[in-house]
Amino acid sequence: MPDLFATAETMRKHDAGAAEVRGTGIGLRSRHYKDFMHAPVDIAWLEVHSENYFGDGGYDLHVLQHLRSDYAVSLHGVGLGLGSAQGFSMAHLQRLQQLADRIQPGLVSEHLCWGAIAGRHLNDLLPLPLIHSALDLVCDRVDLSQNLLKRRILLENVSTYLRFAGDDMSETEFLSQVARRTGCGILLDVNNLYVNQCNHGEDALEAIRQLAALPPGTVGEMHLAGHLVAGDCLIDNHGSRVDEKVWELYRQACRLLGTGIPTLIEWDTDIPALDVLLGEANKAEQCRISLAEASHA
Amino acid sequence: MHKKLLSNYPGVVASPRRAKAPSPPVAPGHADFATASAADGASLQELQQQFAAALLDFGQVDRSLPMFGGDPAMAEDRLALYRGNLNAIWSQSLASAFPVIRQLVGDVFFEQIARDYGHLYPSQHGDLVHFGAAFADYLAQLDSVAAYPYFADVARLEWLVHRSYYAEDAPVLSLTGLAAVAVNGVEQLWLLPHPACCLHRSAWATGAIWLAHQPGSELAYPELLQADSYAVVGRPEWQVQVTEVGKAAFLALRALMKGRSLGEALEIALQEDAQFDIAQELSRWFAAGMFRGATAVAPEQGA
Repeated sequence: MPDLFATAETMRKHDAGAAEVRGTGIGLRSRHYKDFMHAPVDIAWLEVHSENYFGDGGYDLHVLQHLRSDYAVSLHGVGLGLGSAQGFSMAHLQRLQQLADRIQPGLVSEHLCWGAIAGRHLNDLLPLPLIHSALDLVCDRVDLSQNLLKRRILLENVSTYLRFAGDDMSETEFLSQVARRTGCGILLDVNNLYVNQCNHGEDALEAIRQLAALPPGTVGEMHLAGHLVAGDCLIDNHGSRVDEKVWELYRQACRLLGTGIPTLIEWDTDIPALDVLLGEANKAEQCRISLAEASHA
Repeated sequence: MHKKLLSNYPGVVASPRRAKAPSPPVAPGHADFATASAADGASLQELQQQFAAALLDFGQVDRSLPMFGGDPAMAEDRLALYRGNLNAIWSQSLASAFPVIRQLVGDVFFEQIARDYGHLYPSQHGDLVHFGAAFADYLAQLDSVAAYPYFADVARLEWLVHRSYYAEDAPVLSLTGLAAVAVNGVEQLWLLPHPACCLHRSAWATGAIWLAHQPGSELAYPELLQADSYAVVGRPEWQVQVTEVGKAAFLALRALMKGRSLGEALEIALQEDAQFDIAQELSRWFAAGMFRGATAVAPEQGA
């Protein structure tokens, strides 16, 4: 006789197979594994750094495979370096493909950056020269990635401490062009826009306005994180609560881009207790709910 | 305890201004790759190579500054932030794989050798888990730690632990599970090694050093460092374990790993040590999660 409960359980897990990333999520970090494995956590989705799950097996993958039946998952790559003129690794991309096959994530994202030269990986999200040849290269690499992964990827704007003197365009214009030419989406990191506004005098609100002119749905995710003020430079260390000025920009982004864009709270340095992250996530959720109500009123 | 995941967002370590800092060594073959002019018209590849050169070699900083927007003095400070990140990334990923070496040498010296290692052994992957593959070999030839000849083997053991942590999953065969397969006795059995399992031997007391440096360990640091050490690295649960074994057990396990039968392996152990306690040793091997299965047919010869 079939076990009906087990069947319902299987169906639920099966449904989660293509779980859509919606609402507010947090970055899953090893410090919080115990919390998640112990009891259900009130959060819609989780984002992980893809490379941390590139192993053949082991505890990290075990946790992710376990949690992905209860939470939608977003894979966020930090090591592919789509804009590296040399040192781009097909093996890395294939590893990402294997992980995506295993996890069936709701979203896959990468950064608009470079990270390697011939013979050496620098393992950082380095600022891309915003020049036409880089645009062509990134478009080719995004095409390659989307064809291999058989899905749309999101490309994130990065925080930088330097810009190149010979840049042909702004980062927002660059990202918009990549989205237009490849059909990829954009992961808008609101904190990064703010950091770059302070570091380079770029207009963050104007960037959001430009993104709002793109076809609806182009911005597929937003990131919120804390930064560190170090003299005349902001450091994007993801080590504190979201700054009030960044919340204000986020509200503007919700007004201009819509309140339905999945939003993530990122925290990578001095990671606090889970409740602190959930508090920030709740703040983002409430922010969107009140803006949605205001726009319907 | 699980490992702390690596992050690409290291806390920024302020990199020393070059006036006060000695020039770090430059990676072999990379000393003269900065052939590009930083002026307008440099290709993407040239800009990236010049950027990397300026991170790795203080002597390349002046040459790189014109390629950045804004005030050159500010650009130099900002470049130092990326250099600080690079050093922090090297140090953090090595610390994740080599926590015992870090305790042995102290944080300050560890950061120094991480910096030198990062220059000399370029990271080859966007996934930092591979960074550190040559660290034991690097320590083996490093003059500044020549007085501590056991460091390299401790690092080799740590690298086995590191790799075991990420190895493929497989069921772990228990001693009870073995009994179920051994219907014709244990002699004619071939044991299949677990993917997360491997063997380690050293002329230094590496196993005891490793065990004494685990969080919460009450084991004392070994008094005699120059002592043969045999150990098994396994992952019976998710946590990687190091189990010290005797020479007889090591030789038997090595034979099993090479596809010899359990009967042959035990014979090898008894030749080494006539007092070899088979029941106790088997119990220890299986508790260490060494095998994923057993078969009554020789894996290679039996086909």
